[in-house]
Amino acid sequence: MSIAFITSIPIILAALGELVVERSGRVNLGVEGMMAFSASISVAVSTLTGSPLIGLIAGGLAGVILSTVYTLTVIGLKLDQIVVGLIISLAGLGLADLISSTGYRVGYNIPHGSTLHNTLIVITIVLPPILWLILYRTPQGVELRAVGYDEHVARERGLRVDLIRAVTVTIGGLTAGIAGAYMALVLYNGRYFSGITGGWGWLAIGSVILGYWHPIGVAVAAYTIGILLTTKPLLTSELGLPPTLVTITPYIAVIIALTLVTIISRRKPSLIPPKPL
Amino acid sequence: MLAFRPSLRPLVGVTIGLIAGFALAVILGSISPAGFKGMASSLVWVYTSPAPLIFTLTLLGPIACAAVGLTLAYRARFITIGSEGQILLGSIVTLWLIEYSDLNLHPTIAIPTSIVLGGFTGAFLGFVVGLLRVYVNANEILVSLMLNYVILYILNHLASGPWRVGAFAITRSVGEEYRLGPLAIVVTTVSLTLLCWVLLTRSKFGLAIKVYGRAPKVAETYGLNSKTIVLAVAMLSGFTSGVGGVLMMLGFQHNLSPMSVSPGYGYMGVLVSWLSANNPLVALLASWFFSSILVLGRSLQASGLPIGYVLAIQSIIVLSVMIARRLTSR
Repeated sequence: MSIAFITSIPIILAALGELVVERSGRVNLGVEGMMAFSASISVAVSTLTGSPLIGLIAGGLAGVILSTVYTLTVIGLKLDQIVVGLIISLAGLGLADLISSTGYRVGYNIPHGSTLHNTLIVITIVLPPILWLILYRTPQGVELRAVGYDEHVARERGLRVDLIRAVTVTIGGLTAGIAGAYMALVLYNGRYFSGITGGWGWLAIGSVILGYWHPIGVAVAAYTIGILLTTKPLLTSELGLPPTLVTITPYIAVIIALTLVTIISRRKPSLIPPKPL
Repeated sequence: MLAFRPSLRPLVGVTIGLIAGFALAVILGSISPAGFKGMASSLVWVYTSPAPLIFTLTLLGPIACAAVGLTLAYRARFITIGSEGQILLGSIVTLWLIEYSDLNLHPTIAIPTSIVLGGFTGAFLGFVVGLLRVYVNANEILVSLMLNYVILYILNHLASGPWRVGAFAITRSVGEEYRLGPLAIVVTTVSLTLLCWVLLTRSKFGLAIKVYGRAPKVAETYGLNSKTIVLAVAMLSGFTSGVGGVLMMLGFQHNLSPMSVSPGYGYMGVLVSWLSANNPLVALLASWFFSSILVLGRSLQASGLPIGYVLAIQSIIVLSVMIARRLTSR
């Protein structure tokens, strides 16, 4: 399996979760914080239990816990989703550092080629088409997208808007959690350090837009960003590009994508995406 | 729910939220090696001794400068998070002007020049974000966040490459004669705050911002140009954040070295703006409060509290205040 794909797995998973959230008409900007928090938790739990699998599961649950804050405050109390999302990001990053300060910086890793790692690879490959099937070919998926297109009409038609959104936000928390745990347990060999997520959560949110809110498109976009992130040594040594330029490319790519999306939706109004952002 | 006079309710909500959030954050922080005892004794020290008080005034600079500019942007519903990058850029150009430009300016010229230069580079960065929002409707939150990372990596590149001196990845330090004390920082910060407050409450432009923020379509019906408003607040908030970067460099940072995580003064400014309900005067006060939390965090760094937890404390407080206000206003 190519190193670029292995690197892009956390971005793909987090982006697909955020896609589900945004399709239901909400945006959770807390991805970066949920990923960092779960990275830290997964390292701590894998140390405590000696099992990277339990660490991975705990990481997923850590993401769910932070997403519950979003569910309670944004869906429950109707607080501003942008403000709460950013607060979750900032708080998650800080809480992650706090947990690792208690002594859990090195845990048990998931080795490349292990059954668990291969399972995660397979899940990442099959998830986009399955998600497409669910979103476009099942009644539940259609209801979910209906909520995202027009909340009021959906409510009039008897859909439980808040419940559907609570579910999508929880799914987003779970995928971001697994993504963060994957970064720590696989990509950084079971280690946590401050700043481990390095903006990848934001790149995942960018991939959702870059992939135009379509499961396959989002997966391809996240993979492309993963390629940009992994080919840095190659591009700098072979093409002689300055390392800084290569490092900032994914971030610039997202900015360009954001501008292109508007131009596309102006040309083809039928392609108008859900408008959470 | 609560038997207070309605006019007192917001204040009661804010107070309950502040206390509850701060308490929760301190209790959570006790799991760090610093422990509850360490947290509690530092808490008392920060709010009762003169030394930390003076330090809060120094650290106040970048936080407050970012926050007061953001109050204008957020009133116009321009949700930029770019202050972090603008502060870093302001500090980069300040270091360039004083240590790397070969101009050898006298401090009396160099300091005002760096404030203007830092402010305008911050404004330029804000202008880019505003331009993309106005003309191609690119979401300003993501664009400004991406730029924060771009600036952070440029800073790391400068500090570990072209500007590096000696064996370690660290730049030259600004000379003693260029450094600013707490008084100069407070004067600059208060002036910027008053400027933003006057703009917002005593000018036609401020009225336009408020009308546009509340009802963009009404504003356009009355002939207000939405593009001009958005671009203006984008540049103004960029300007104040850029000045914040100058104060950071000349006030306490003095040099640059590569960092894996952005220092967070801009993000603190964002939180402060929300906490202050986008009122510049309240934002100044709230910045001081957040600056004291930063001093608290720094004082506990040696005993094992991660500095990154400071932003978590502040985030928890802001969320707690928002929840308390919502619950008490029902």
